[in-house]
Amino acid sequence: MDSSNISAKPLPPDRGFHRSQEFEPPATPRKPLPGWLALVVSLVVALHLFAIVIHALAANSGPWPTQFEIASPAEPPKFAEIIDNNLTLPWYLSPLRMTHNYHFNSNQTEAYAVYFEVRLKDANGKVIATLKYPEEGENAWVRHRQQLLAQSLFGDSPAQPPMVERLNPPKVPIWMPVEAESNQQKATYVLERIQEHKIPRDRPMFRPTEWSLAVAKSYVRYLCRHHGAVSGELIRHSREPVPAVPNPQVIAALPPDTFVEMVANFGEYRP
Amino acid sequence: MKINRPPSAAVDLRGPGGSLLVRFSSAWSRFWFEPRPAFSLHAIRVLTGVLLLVWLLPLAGHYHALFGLEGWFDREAYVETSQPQFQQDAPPVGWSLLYPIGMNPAALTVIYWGTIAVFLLFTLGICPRITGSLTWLMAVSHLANATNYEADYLLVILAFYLMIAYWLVGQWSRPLNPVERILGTSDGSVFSLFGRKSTDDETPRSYAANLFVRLLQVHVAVIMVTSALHKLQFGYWWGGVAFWFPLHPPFATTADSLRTSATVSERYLFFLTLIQYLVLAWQLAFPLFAWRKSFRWLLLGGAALGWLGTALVLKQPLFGPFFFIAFLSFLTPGEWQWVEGKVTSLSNGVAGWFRPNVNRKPKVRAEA
Repeated sequence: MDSSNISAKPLPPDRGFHRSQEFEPPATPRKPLPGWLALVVSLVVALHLFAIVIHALAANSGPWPTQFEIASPAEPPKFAEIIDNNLTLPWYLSPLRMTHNYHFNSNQTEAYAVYFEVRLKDANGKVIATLKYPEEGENAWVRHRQQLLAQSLFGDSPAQPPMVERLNPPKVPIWMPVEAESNQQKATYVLERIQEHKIPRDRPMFRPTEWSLAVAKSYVRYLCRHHGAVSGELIRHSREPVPAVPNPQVIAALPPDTFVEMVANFGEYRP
Repeated sequence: MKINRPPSAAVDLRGPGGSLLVRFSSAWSRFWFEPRPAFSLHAIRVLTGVLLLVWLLPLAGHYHALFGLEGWFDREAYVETSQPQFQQDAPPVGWSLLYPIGMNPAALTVIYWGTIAVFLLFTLGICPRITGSLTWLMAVSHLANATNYEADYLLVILAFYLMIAYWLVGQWSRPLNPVERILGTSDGSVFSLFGRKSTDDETPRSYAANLFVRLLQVHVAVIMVTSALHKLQFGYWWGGVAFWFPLHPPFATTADSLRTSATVSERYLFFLTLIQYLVLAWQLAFPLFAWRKSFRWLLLGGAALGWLGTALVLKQPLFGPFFFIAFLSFLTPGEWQWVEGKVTSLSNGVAGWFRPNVNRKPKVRAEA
């Protein structure tokens, strides 16, 4: 697949990098590779690359639009999913930690901007420190990790009431709007745990992911240990991505919540 | 019956069958089993080692917070998120050498600086078989943290292939002593450059170096195409406005700032969408030009621009250097020979500054 075996004409000595003299055809090595070894290596290489390609194929795709006007991810091809879940991933790729399927999150450039702050409190409930992340003045590599942490607090999903009410309905965490603290620039929400059948049906409701809740609690625990606080209140700030506009006249037609900051209070957590 | 093999360094996998099988096996043999000078392996090792050091060193003051079990993601969180309801959202946890010592700050500090030392030794090429294995172990172990960054997995790919290559290099075709078979040879070390006169010295050719380069090439091509196809699952990539969003950070953009911004114009969107499509086309067409010498400018130029773009626009610090290093694997042996010549000249020049010149005659000023 490269031209290293093609002999070249003699080149002028002053040509640049990519015109360097071709590599001479190799002499016979002291110890050529035996056929059986090459066969074994070929098999190993083929299986290795097969595992990598199958893992990339076995990823969900989308979200794609559906007939219900809601975009939804699509399942991967069944053959890839079965081979990946049962064979290549658990027995080969996971031990080697080559588990990424190259569907990078950074490809999704239309992403919300997020930062968060934590209010640390003492035993009397008095705020002893308010910390904002990513931290100003921190080195770029650490700020990048803090930004990743902030992103992991996002990813809310729709919360829908059940079609049928259960006897002992579980409580689910829901973002409830706080009208008194909201205005044209800011929409404030607080996390409340309500029985699932009480989720409002007259407007779309959202809930944090279990992962973001776990991350929030863990980080508050860390800050409490680090600063000697008794409890912490994590507040997430986020904004929608700004749509591309071809001229200033279109700006007026943008949705009203385009430039509104969502302030979501995870509530006070006491480790 | 004795089979006469052709005088070629590559293994001949010719077997009974039609010409298609012969052509395929010959091409496969040339691609995977043509020994090449090991300089490419050593150069990529040095660059990878530097990248690994840059990856970890800035986190020195936050090591316990990021990787300890009393840090940002503590032991309680690991236990909680091992429950089934988290499997969809949580990143894969996997194994790590840091878990057993995650609660011990002193041990974590030792591990951190030990990791830095291992990365440094591997970069310099000291005992590469051992330090290569340790490098991979530590790179994988550091995937275990709450801020699981996807580009970290790319570093593990480099570390893995380098480990395999250094296990194998010289084992078959070179007469090594037992110590060299375990620790590795020193001819790939950074220090060996300073003793060489020129590239006329025989550079050992290695099957392992070729295997490493080819594995990295194919793996990177899979990554590029998969990532490009993933981008096409989003409407804004089709619309050409994918780069609009990172160039207009939401917290820094208001309706008023947009009204007065020069970026709100059809001319701006014309060039923005054109550039984005060129990027997408480059990525999709990657396997068609990456192996062609005549397109080297496209490969390395794209890598350089991509590095700038991912760092400055997308604010992703590791993608650019990873892909630049990985794309160097596409250089032919002849091109590496040119690079090796330049590096040898440079190292001899540097070594010459420190070497006393006993043959130098004192300058005599001409009298008027």
